[in-house]
Amino acid sequence: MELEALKSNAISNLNSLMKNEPNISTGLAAIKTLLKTLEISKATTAIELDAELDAVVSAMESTDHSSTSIRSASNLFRKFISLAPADLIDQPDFVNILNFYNNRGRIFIERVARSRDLIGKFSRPFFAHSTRLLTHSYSKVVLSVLRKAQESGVDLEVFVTESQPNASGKKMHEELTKMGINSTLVLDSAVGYLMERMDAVIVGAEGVMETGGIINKIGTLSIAICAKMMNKPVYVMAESIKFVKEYPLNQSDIPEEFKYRTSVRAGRKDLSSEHPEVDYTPPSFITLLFTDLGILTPAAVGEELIKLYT
Amino acid sequence: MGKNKGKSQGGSPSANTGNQQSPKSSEKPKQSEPVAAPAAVPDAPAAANVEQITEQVNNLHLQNGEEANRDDVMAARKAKAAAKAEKAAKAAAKKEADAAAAAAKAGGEASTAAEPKQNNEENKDAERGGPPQSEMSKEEILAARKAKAVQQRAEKAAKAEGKHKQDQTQQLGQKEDLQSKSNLKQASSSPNGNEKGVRFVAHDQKETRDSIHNAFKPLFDRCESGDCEGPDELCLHFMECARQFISQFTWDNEEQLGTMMDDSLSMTLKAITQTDRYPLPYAMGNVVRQLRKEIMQVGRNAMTKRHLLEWLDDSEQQYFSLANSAISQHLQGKIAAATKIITYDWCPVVNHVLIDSKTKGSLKKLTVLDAAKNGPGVRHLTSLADHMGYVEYGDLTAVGSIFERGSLVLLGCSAVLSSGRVCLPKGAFQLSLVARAANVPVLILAPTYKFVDRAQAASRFALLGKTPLDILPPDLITAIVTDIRLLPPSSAPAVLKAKALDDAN
Repeated sequence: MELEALKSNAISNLNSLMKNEPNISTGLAAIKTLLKTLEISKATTAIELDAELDAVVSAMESTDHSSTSIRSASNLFRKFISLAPADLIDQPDFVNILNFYNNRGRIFIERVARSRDLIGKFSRPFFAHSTRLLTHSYSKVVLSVLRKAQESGVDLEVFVTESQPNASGKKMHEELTKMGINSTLVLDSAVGYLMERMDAVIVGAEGVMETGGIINKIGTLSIAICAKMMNKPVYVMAESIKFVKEYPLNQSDIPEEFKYRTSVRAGRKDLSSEHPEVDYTPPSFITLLFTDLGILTPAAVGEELIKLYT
Repeated sequence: MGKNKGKSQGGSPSANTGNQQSPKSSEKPKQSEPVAAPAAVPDAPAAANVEQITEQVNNLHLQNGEEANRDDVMAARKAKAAAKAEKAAKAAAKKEADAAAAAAKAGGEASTAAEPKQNNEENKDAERGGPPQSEMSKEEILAARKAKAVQQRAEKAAKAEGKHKQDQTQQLGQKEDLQSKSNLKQASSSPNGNEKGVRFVAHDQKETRDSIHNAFKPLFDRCESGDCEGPDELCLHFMECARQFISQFTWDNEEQLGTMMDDSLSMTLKAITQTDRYPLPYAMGNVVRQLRKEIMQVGRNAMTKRHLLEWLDDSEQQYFSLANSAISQHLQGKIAAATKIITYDWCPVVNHVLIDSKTKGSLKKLTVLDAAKNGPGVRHLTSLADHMGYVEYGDLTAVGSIFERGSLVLLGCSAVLSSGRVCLPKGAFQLSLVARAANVPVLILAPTYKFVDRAQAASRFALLGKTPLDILPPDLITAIVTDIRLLPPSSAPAVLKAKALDDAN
């Protein structure tokens, strides 16, 4: 019973966070919700606490927000807070442990909140005056990176794909124009035509996989393949909380819950008539990943994940 | 030969100035046929004796004029010099070791009289019914050189072996001396200059076997008879032998037990690898390294033989059964999504995964390929016979027609190198190339103990010297499936670090 209350609480919490703070990333909102659960938790054993957190995560995944981001952020958050010294774990009073988890959680959130600034800082030298960039769909990290470059006095030319079926590129284009960045909205099908005059492709990611490849808005793969053929670098901007313990071999191996929103999947067995929301871009098409851990090659992602999860 | 024959028929012998050796060799027999009075050499090889041949050669000199004569004299001089050198080498060998003395004696017969050396050699060749005489002068030189080289090698080996043996007898109380016998065998074959007769490996096997601790002899014999299929079986057998070795080993001083055990083990390993000439198969090298680390602890830190045996049991479980089921677990989703699984050659890990996924119902279709029909891959078929009604089987020539939409290639391996390259049975490279062309993912199944901190692979391994390997570059590999999880090949160094298998450990 109590778990049900926790679940509905978590959902409303997440929704209000995403609504009230338009710039917050899904991952950050998810771990903030988890921290809230920790704060109000009355658990007396680690198993109880685990059950509560499990319930909250599954509740959040049942919303229509990117389940890739929610899963990766929640896993990393839980891994990070539970790294407690041995003598603390042996303590009989669970309140102490809970306090420790709370503190660790706050530290983690602080770190995550800083990651976009760090990514902006790391990627700054890659943009020069009148660099032409092609970007796809709406990405908050890419937006913040471009803002940072713009603020430091670099005049960029950005081409944004419409990114159908939800035309999220339009939103991106509007935001960029508002910031005073020279932005052009282009057709999704114009990517091949435009590629030869681009300097680089810059995209965000819903999740960074163990392969070093990314899962992102559908169409990213076609752009990356096109860029590779024309020898243009593909840069991915992604916070490290987007690292997911998943190893897709090809498009058909992407987990179902990543491909379709929960509302689409609900109660349906045959999804063949639905448009997938994301595609998987293998590491061979990615030049560099800009993360808060630094600038990584795709190969380095696997190593970071081993460090995080062993 | 044929080419030269045609040439010599037309032109005079003295016209050959550019390449004196080869035309000469063919022109002699032509001339000798009418000239040599006593029975032509090739016709009655067994009857020919030294006198006859000497006479024959002399006749030849008289008949052929200066050009040929000079050639022969030159060749004879060279041969003489070579024979002298050989004799000197053998004399040195005599002094060096007792064992080598026998060899020198056997080989020395050929060079007792320095003067009739050439004739002696020719006689031998005549007996064999081999190539005509004058050609022999060159061949003889080569033979002498080879004999010398072999002699020196044998001396070295005898020396090393003698020392090794000494140590061995001191420590293990073994007293067997087949050394001189084997040296004799080697030396007797050396004057012929027959490279095959003096193969180092062939001659060394008996000695090697004697230097190996009794507990490890079954392993060595099994590998010698070619009964061992691959590194997995080898590792398991090694661990079994190690168990015997540890339980048999006794030493008065409890504190030094570990050190003595390690010394004895290292002696055995030295014999197996022929003093590091052929490295152990990589995966086995890992097991040995970790075992030795544990052995050194015996007698210290309250570590006893019982602990060591327990450690062996634990690691065996960890490396094999647990790792296999972990790998199988990681793969279930992928196998269920694939329409067809393709594998190559034999690998127990792959076999475990296949049986496991068949029982769980995720495996739909299976194709097994071998380098040639009725190869090791048949073991997959026999082991799956109870589980599957139909399995496709073929040799590598079928590789073009086996891929269909949704296929998945699963390959076992003998080692994953730190560069992300993977050592596989020969032929797996072709399969992977075709898989890449067909856009089919290639998964390598590798328990973490198969990861090694090497960037380059040796071509031959101790115990498994005959097993040919392919080295697959990382860009042909979609993922490596380990007991930790699925990894890109580029993560090999991270695995080494996480599992403390790198050189620092």
